[in-house]
Amino acid sequence: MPQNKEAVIRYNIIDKCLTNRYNPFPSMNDLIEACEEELGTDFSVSTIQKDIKAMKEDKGLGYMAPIRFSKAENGYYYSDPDYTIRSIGLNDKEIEAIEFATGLLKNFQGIKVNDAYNTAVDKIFTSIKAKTSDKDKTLVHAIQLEETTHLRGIEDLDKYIYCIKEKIPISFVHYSFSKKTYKANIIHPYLLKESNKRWYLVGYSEEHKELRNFGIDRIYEPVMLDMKFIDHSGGDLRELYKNKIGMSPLESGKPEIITLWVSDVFSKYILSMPLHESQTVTEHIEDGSIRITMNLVPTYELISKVLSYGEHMEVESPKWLIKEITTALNKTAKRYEAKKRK
Amino acid sequence: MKQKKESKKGIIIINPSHKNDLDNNPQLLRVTLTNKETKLDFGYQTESYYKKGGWVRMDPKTFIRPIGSNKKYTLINATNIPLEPEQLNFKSQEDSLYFSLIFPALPEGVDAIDMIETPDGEKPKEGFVSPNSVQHDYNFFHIKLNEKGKIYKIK
Repeated sequence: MPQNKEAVIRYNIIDKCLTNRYNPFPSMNDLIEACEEELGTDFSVSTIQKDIKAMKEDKGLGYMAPIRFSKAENGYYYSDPDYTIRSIGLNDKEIEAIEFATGLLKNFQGIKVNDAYNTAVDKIFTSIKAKTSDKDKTLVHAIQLEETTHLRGIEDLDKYIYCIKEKIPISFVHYSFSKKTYKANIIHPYLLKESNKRWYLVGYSEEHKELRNFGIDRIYEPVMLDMKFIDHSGGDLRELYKNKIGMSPLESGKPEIITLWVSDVFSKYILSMPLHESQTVTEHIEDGSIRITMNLVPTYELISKVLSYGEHMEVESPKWLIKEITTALNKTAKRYEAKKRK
Repeated sequence: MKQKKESKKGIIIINPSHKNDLDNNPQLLRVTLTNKETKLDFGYQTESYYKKGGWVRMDPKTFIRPIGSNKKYTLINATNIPLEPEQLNFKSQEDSLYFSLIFPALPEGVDAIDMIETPDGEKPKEGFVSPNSVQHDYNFFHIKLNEKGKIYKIK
């Protein structure tokens, strides 16, 4: 580490000691120990004395810190109790919040935006409190999100964000899992949408002449184009996905009332975490099961969701959705039956 | 003299018109023209002819040739597809492959090119096996580079 950077870190450690209301009037030994603990090297009394002098008098440094020594308390203090050298006046709770958010973002490692964020956070921490202490690191380890495996195409996420922000159309090749075909297309990107740990690029598709979404894991070689951008004029796009579970609509693509029965075993789970924000309980049945309705656009993801609850969830309406679920279950049952016969 | 910085920007032609006997598989998706290279992007979907989808590879002698010229621009690189004698063996009839072939830059004013893996009169070497095609090698004729509405500037 460059010497002057280390000195800045020591100034921040000294500042932290002087503003610690739980240990006022830190002694010279306290300051030396704090620096040694944070930086992992030994410091002499004269180094810390020089640091204090620089913080008090160095015009180039510009702190002009009102540091005094109390004989009665045998320690140092700021004569102005509100003084701190921290250029950004973040309190401990605010710092903790940044560290918490940093912990959450670690779930999206590999994204360049995230790398830039980490660098920015490092800079903030360097300028306000030397570095994240081991105690602070435990905060990051206090939460665990479900691990995301590497999603193909995630490395282009920052490019999509840039194109959305700067209104740049993108040429790309898309592979359709269902149609098993590649298509070269142009999108005027408006939104990056995350759903079920997958990312989708939403925008005006030149091929379809309408708003479409494309899973980024199926996009190959996005190339930025120098052409007129077609703006979105249909209001807040985020609203478009509010009435859906997932991204892939079935049938008409219009919202419908879906009625579901949920067993006593799972009713509490569904009540404590609704399937969708439109979920309403229409009946509490004596055996503990419930009947719920949702007003949403039926999607493939909705079918997967219902099937994931097995015998504990049943679609009661609309009829066409019952048929879809029945067909899927029959196919599954046949597959297992065939296995049994082998 | 200070050298002018070479720009890699160029144009991209999306779904260029062309002729071949490959039943649109592989499918020519894009052609990128810059002052450094000519890049052709393809998509291939394995077919049911082979139990496990078959295999693919490219002849390293593959070239592009401007229409009306005898000058050949031989393959300089390939992305995602092996060059002979290597080959990529697919695992199933559901496999697919996006790949690119990179050739030297073309001079200005070329309106159309052929991409030839096997020149006329030579016996096909089964470079790209497509059971529905008349021949096994991978030739694309009269790829149009000047079609209105299909050419876009790269930013």
